[in-house]
Amino acid sequence: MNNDKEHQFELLVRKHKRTIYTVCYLFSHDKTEIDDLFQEILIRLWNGFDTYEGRSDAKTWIYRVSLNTAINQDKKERRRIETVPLTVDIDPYEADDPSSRQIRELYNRISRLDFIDRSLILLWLEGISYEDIGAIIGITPNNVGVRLLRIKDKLVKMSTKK
Amino acid sequence: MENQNNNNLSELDQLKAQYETLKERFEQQEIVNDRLMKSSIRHSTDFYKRYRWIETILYPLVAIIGFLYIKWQFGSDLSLMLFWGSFVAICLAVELWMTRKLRTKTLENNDLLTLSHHARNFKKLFSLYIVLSLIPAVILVLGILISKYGISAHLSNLSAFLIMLCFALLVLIGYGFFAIRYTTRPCDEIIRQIASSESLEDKKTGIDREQRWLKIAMIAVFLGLGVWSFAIVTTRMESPLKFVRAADDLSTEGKLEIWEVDADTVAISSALLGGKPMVQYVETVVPSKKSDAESVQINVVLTPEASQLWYQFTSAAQGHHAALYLNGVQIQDMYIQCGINNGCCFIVKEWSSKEELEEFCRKLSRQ
Repeated sequence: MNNDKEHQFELLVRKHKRTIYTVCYLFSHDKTEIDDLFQEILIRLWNGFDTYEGRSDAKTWIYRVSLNTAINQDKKERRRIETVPLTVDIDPYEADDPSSRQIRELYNRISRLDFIDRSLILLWLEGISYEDIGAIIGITPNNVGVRLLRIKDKLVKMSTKK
Repeated sequence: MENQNNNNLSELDQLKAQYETLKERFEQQEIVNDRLMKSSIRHSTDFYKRYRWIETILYPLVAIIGFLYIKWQFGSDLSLMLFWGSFVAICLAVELWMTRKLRTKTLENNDLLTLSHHARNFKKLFSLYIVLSLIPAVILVLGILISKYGISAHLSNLSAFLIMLCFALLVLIGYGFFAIRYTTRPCDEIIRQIASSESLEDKKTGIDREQRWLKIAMIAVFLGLGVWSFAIVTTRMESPLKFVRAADDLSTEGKLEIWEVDADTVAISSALLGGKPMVQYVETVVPSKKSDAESVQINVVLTPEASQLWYQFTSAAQGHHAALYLNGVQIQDMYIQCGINNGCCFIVKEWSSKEELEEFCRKLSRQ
């Protein structure tokens, strides 16, 4: 029974690995931080796996837990767990090929926003509905629309200044 | 205007294109490996255990140490034991409730703003709990210290009392500060991140109502515990009995001699003082019940002349060991612990009845 649950969980994580990794990348400063945060998110997901099952859309739930964990980064606490390195063959902070440069450009733009705005733009880029974004952040869908307009404006201004 | 719209569009298009690249790039990566999965599943249980050590080890340990101390210092005092047990149990229950309800479960089930609301509430509530729980603890510690060190206004006792008081307060305040810092540390980052965002509507959730009631209940319970501890302390704190010889009374009862143990010779006696009184007054606190303690402390405050003679005799630092002899007979139970400090002789005496103890003190005061 437990093995079955573990198997289900593993399938879910493998299916949404990119979603988790994206959150980790956009809310971290280096590769070690990504590894730490990824593992912390997996722990949180596993803890809440029983309550999740069948209750909401998997992607929304994963975003919710990932963002909540990213904001709650207690680095001192996390150091107590030995981090297992992720199997990733690029360093999104260091690689210098054209696509890595594109990714870094995106990172540089988004990382200038505060946590809530960063989360909103990430969810919007992912194509999540305003209702679901509102449910993850905790604001109304109308407010999501208004805030997204402001963020887009902010991003344009940032790029003009640059 | 049109130009700006075009700018906006191209900016957002660029952003979307970059995000697509990111998705594509990260999708190709393996990222998750077996070791990582196993480690995360294994550590998830450890994660909760990390917080459980406080409840499973620290609280029972503190409770046992407290019970042992009460047994050692006050005998089988049921009211004190009951208070201590209730105090620890209430603290444990409040902490369990808060860590379970407001901290650990919130990450998986709530949205970001509710989470930050929880974090703020948790921080406020936990700080309030620590401050409130310190009230009965401080009263109790203060009471114990007063009953142990504060029975005499004599300088040596007073300084010991003040040192112990400062130490105890430092330990309690230090513990409070550490507990707040350690427990609410994860909340700080959440509060900081959300606070840096522009004004978002403040979430009012069911937790506010719950928190209000918990706050009221907590204040009531801990103030109740404060009153209880105050009652325990005041009922235990008997006012000291003081035995003073009348100024015109020069009669004596028996013959008291204070011997310097190491030199094996008489240091002070009425004869050495030319028949003048040796003792200024005698002071003690008689416990309310015999079972409270096996022995009591008696302070024999010497006259300035007797005190001076002691210093002359020893011509050295304070604190020489002395033995008291009454009518040439060494008072065995007084010999156990007897020292002279600043003209005050401390005796620890075993006692059987209040009357016998009062009689003994009265006799000592007439030397």
